[in-house]
Amino acid sequence: MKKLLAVLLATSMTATLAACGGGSGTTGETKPQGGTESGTTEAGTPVHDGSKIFKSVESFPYSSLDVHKEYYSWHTQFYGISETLFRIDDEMQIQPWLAESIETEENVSTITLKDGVCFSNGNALTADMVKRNLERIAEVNSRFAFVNDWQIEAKDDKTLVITTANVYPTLENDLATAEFGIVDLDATEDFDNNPICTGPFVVDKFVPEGDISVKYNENYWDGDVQLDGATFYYMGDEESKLLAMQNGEIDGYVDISAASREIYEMDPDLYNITTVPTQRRAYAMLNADKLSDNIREAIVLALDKDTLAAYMNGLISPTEGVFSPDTYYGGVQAPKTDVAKAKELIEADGYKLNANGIYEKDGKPLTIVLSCYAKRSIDTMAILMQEQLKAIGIDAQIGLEEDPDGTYMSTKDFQIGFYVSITDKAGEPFTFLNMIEKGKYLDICGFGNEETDALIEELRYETDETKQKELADQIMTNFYASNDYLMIGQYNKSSVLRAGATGLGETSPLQFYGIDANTNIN
Amino acid sequence: MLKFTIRRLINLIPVLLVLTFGVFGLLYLTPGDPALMKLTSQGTAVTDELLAIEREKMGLNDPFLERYVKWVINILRGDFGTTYSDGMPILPKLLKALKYTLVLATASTVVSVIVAIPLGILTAIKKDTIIDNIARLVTFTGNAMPNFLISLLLMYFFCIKVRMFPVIAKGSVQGLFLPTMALAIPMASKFTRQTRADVLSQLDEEYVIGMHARGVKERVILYRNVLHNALGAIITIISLQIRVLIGGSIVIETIFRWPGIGSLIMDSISKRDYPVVQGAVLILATLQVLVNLVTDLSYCIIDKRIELE
Repeated sequence: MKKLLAVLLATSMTATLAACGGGSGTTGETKPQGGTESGTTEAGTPVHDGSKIFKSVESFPYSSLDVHKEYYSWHTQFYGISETLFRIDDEMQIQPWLAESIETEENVSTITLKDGVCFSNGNALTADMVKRNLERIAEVNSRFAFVNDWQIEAKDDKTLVITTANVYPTLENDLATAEFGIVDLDATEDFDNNPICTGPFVVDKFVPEGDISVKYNENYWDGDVQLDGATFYYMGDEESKLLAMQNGEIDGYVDISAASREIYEMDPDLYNITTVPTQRRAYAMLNADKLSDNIREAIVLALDKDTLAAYMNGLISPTEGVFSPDTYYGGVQAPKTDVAKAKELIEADGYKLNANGIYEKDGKPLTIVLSCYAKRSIDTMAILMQEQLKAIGIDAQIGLEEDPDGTYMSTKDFQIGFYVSITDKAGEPFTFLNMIEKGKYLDICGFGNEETDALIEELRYETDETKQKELADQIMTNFYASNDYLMIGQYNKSSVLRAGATGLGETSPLQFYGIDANTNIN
Repeated sequence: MLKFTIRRLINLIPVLLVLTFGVFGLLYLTPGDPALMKLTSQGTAVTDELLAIEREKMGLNDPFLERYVKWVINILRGDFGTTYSDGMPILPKLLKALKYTLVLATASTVVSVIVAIPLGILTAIKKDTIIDNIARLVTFTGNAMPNFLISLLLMYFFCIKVRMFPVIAKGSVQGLFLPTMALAIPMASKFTRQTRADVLSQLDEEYVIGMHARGVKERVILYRNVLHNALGAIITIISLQIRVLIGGSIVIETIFRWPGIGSLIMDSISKRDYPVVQGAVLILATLQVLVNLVTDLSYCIIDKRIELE
């Protein structure tokens, strides 16, 4: 009840502010102050007079800029400080970045670095420095302890050879994740506050768990940097972000709320909104120990994801699969909604509709508990699913928990359990599939089996893309046929930029791409 | 008074021990795995092997009592440990957040008292006049409005309409004004109503009627006697409010980007960062007890008839 009241009040407040802004002409009259047009030379080279400062906000507090520790690199890369050997483009394809190329034969990969790459202090990037960076990641970040199993050798200044114990088809993908950002380990004195990296920006001022300012890297190796700098204010409150944007104090930010989005959409001349689906998905696990095969299949077929996504107002896009159908490994998707078949399946299990429109068998109604939690609007999705299930005759109840991992995910005592995770971390299927093998963390509804595990293990070492596709298709066919998992939606990354501002990573489906050398404001 | 103070401070030790044990126990029983939360904070899945290693590294496999005793011994040495989430020392983090919270609590309390006590007295002596009615309406509204609404209205008025402050305030004084106002408005409303009620009840006392009969000046009656006698109740409500403020106001801190202890605790609870929550509770509990002590001492100072037991 309290929550409902809070939502109503927040919505009405936002609407009031929008009305005030629109009615009084505040939004229309306010000239954004985020930056002024800075000049360029006749040759088109930007003139750095300190006036072109991009301003944005950061929603989460963090205490360090150490590229290799925890998830801090997601911030340093977003701010254009750190860069990796490879990058993932907007289509989730791997592209060279600091590396020129990679050649792989069996379990040996030879990486050639680009000529002319240097750190912000002017020191050239060498293969030996990359080697030591990889060793440091393995040492300071437990998620990357597997790098210890690699044999890394710097053949010469530009050539790095990585030998893995087995064939390693996802090496490029791994090296494209933000944690593999390259730091000048010799010159960096304060890893937490001022790492020296290769990106177009360098740290100017960093307040742990507060604001950060970056300035352009005078020695940037990959062309001119358009901005003089950027500032990211730590600001968790959505309404404050909206007011700061309306007041012209920031140039844009990512992850706008649905309520703010509606307000920005009222003024398309002033604000540009970009929405791209990310690889973070909401899904439900259907416990095979608690629900029959027919009931699970019926639930999978009953959910109308388009309607659900439409209600979520831009937060998610409908999805039928774990992987995007645009990827080579996302060819097989889950079956489409089919309410009539769903009802047939329930009836085949001996259920009949009672006077209340709910299926029952032996006098007992078909009641299913949807275990969910409140983060990332999962609870709202559960309520919408509850309504859809009730419409076909399933008495769905909501079981709200604060933390899924500490409750239904660990006890496995649930019928339908909601969860959210990134299903495609770096343009490859293996990382997610590895988690659904028998006994692994996401195998909690009885999916793991020898046949599929063998296919997943085969995929682990398969380098040929065609064969990878075949394997992925087989695995995903089994996956969807099991009806153990129900994909609900794909989270969107929605960004707003004021007119004239470009380049906040708004077209990338990944969260760790933000400003770069081409980011600009007019 | 010194003896009383020392005795109360000594009593603090068992209180804190029980409290820390309680908090430690509650957090231990809370569902959720700090290691898992740390590893999956950005939504990436982790393997069971990695999870087991991380749990071991974080000491989560140690028995409850062993962890508690170890923690208490370290605290006695002045070592609050490091956070689970980022491995940074806890004490500087807590002190930094506490500093911000105390600054905001002090500023809002001072503003509230400066506004509320004179206004409370004025409305009492002008009872049922237009001034009283307006003040009652305003204080009723101020008291009833939720913090986030006051905050957003203040921000809208001062930042968007009047443009006196930016939404993103930089610098301590500029950044302090709006959160102070947001906290002071409901607080001053409460204080005003309390002061008015206490002064009114004193004005009906026989000693006031007697003083009037003896021709004592109104101002002397009001400030030397009535207000003095009403102070006890006013101090009680101020003390209660300070105790609430010391815990931090998450809503105000979030809206105004004020890095106080409320947000730190909430953030730490959501990450299951037990050492931070335990350290914060320890410090806050100590402060609460100290505020109680100061309140008790102040009763004694303003009214000599009260004896400290």
